[in-house]
Amino acid sequence: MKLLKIIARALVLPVLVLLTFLGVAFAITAAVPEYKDSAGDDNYTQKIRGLYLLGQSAAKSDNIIIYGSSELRTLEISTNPANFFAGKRAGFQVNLIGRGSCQSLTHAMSIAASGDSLTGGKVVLITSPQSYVKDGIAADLFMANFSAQQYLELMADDGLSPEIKKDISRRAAELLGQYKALHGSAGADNAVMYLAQHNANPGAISTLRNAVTAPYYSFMRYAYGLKDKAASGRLLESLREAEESAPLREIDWAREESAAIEEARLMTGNNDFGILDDYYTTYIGTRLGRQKDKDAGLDYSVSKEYGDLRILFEVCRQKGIEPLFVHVPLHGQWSDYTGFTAQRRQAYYENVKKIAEEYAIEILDLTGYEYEQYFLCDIMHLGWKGWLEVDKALVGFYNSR
Amino acid sequence: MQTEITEIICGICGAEDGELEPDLELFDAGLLDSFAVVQMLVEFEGRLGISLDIETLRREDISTPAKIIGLLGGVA
Amino acid sequence: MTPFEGLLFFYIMGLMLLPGVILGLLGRPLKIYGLIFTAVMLTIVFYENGQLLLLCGFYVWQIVLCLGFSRVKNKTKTIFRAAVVLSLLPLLAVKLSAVFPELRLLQLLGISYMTFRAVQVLIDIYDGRTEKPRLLELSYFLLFFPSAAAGPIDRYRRFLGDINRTPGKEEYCELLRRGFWRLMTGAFSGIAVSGIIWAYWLEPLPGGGFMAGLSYMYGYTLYLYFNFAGYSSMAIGTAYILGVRLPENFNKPFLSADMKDFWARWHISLSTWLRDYVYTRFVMGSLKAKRFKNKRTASYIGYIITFAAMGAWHGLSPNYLIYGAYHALLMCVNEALDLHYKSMRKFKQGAVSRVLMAVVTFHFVSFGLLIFSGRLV
Repeated sequence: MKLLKIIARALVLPVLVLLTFLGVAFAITAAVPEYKDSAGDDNYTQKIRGLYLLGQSAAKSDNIIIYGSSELRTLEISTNPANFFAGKRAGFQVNLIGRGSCQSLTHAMSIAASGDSLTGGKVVLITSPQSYVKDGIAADLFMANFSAQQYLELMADDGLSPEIKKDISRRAAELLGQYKALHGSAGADNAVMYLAQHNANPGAISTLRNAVTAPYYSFMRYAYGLKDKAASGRLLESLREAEESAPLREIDWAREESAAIEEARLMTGNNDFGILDDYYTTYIGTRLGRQKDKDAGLDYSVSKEYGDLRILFEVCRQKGIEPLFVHVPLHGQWSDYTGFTAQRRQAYYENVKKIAEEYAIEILDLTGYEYEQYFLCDIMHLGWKGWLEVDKALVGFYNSR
Repeated sequence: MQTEITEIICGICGAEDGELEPDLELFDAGLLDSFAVVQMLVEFEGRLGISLDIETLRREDISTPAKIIGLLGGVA
Repeated sequence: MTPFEGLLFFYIMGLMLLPGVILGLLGRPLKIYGLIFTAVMLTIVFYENGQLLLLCGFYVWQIVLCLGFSRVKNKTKTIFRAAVVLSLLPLLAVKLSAVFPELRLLQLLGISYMTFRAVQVLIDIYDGRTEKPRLLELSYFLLFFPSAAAGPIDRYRRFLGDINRTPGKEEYCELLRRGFWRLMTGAFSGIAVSGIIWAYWLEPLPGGGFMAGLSYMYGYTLYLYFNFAGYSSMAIGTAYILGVRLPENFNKPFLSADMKDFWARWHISLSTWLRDYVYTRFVMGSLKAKRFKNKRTASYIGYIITFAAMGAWHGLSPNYLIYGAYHALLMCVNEALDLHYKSMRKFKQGAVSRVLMAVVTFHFVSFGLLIFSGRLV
């Protein structure tokens, strides 16, 4: 029995470590404050890589979740949904999720990992034309928003088909592999990369490796969840309490439009393209001459991003989500100047429309506004009148459900 | 031979004959250092024909005159 | 996968250690399983970082050298020197990548440590301490996983003694308990504490400026200590679980009263290696050949060569070389002070003066590490 005594003594330390861990886990979970709607007003990074805040927001019937990229950041424009619907003046709160490097695949993974919290919910998807270059999303950009937590969660979700899991795994493995090839092992998530490779293409060795490391991944799922809660808790802690909702009032769209145009006029004095003064000075300005015809060879007809868009729509379908897809136009006048012809632009618009039709996605087609002044606020992002159209659609979208 | 050994130690430590207690900790007293150890071994080899393996030699084994004598006695 | 870093590594190593633990608790020998453990862990780690082929090449090179040299009938000094140079060649090639960027591809984790182990075996063979090393035992020594990447640097015959013994159940339980404890404390020190120092002290510091530099000096010294001592602890702990009592690498280094004391307390396995195989051999050779008129000169030159080697062993970039030269200078000063100011010795032994000396030594050490960090050069 001496052996038992020795084993017992040896176990003291591991048991202590385990209890400490559980204690910390409990403390983190208990310390997360109540969800605040104001978390939706800005595209905080915790929302992009985590799942907790998404779930909390989705549980509220008056939240509309908007997945997008860099256009969400245009908070200096008053028609940006976060500003336009501040104080829930139309009866709902918008939740902006995404930033510059987020493209279809990133959003697909977030939705795929959301369990059933988004089912039947109000989700808006905005993708950028600039994503549709031949090679699709760059490995660096993908890595900037890649969430091992989301990947593990979606793989563990029995509600998703094996095919879609394989498709996502294939893309993730491809991009993670590219990132590792570029930057070496540092900063790359090799453990998840191997898992994705295995899920995309199981082999004998990878199956063995997967079996051995399965407990590790299970634990990591749990650990990531804790980390997410801790980060979300800290964010919620820092937000001010939600303001009292403003009383519901009919929106005078005509007046809003005039106000938007007026605001635009004030912010775009220094150029002929209707672009924000700051943007123009920083990115174009004296280099205007050099921009002429620089995109003569640009082509969006073939791109891996179309495949990623399909994945995004398929995930929505499997999750029972009927999203509103915003089809954003390019800046007609500017594109003509840089040599990206109307014909090629039209081809891109059609490609995306066809895919949306295939998946029976409700589409807000704004591509007819290519030449509308102040529709975009710079050469690619929705601006005063563009966001206003989206705002109109959001009210309709919310009330129709 | 013991007198010769003591003579060598005293010479290297810079001490007079008979000044060193048999159990004096030579390293702690600052009388021996790495260089002195090498000197000592060279002397032992040259004058007494005894080679000590410096790699297996530990400081504790040669920290007092008594220990050194004992060690060399065992090897000779 | 970097050894002793990341949950996945510990998970896999834990799984791999389990059979060893069971064997040990049953009082069975651990030599064979230890070899298997080393082979599997090395394959995983080096396959992961793309250096498996290089590792195999390096291993074959050293084995052929050692076994070949042991079979030479007449081991002349020239042949011995040639063998040592050949053994050091891969290390030189890797270090030269600091000077020639084309050699960047030749990176091999742990090559500095493994090379020194190989050279030590060659020296043992030449001195006649080891007759004909056996392939498996020699391989195990060179590649022993816990210390492969970053030491401690062990000695061949001490290692053989450990692996050819079977600790009984009682002794193994003690080894297991201590090994696990070292693993835990090493992880705490090497991962948690050093991580915190890095993230909250060092990272936020601006890149220039005197005050920032001063703060960096203190912070980096502490960081390096916790990081390296913690790592060594983890390596030693893992080795204990495999029945191998690796030598210690750190012994309260910040209590050092002078530089000689420091080098007996910091990266001990490296400094004793250099002392035994560079300093002592050079000094002994010089004394016997009466190379210098003043015998003491041999000691000074010995220190310079030894610490220059120490600097170069870390790398051939300016910060490492200057670090080596800096310590060479300090050791000579230490030696001179001890020699010509006998009162210094008494001074170092007083209680209060000892503390003072420790503080002074700490500052010399920290400044050296500031050079080492590359911030100044």
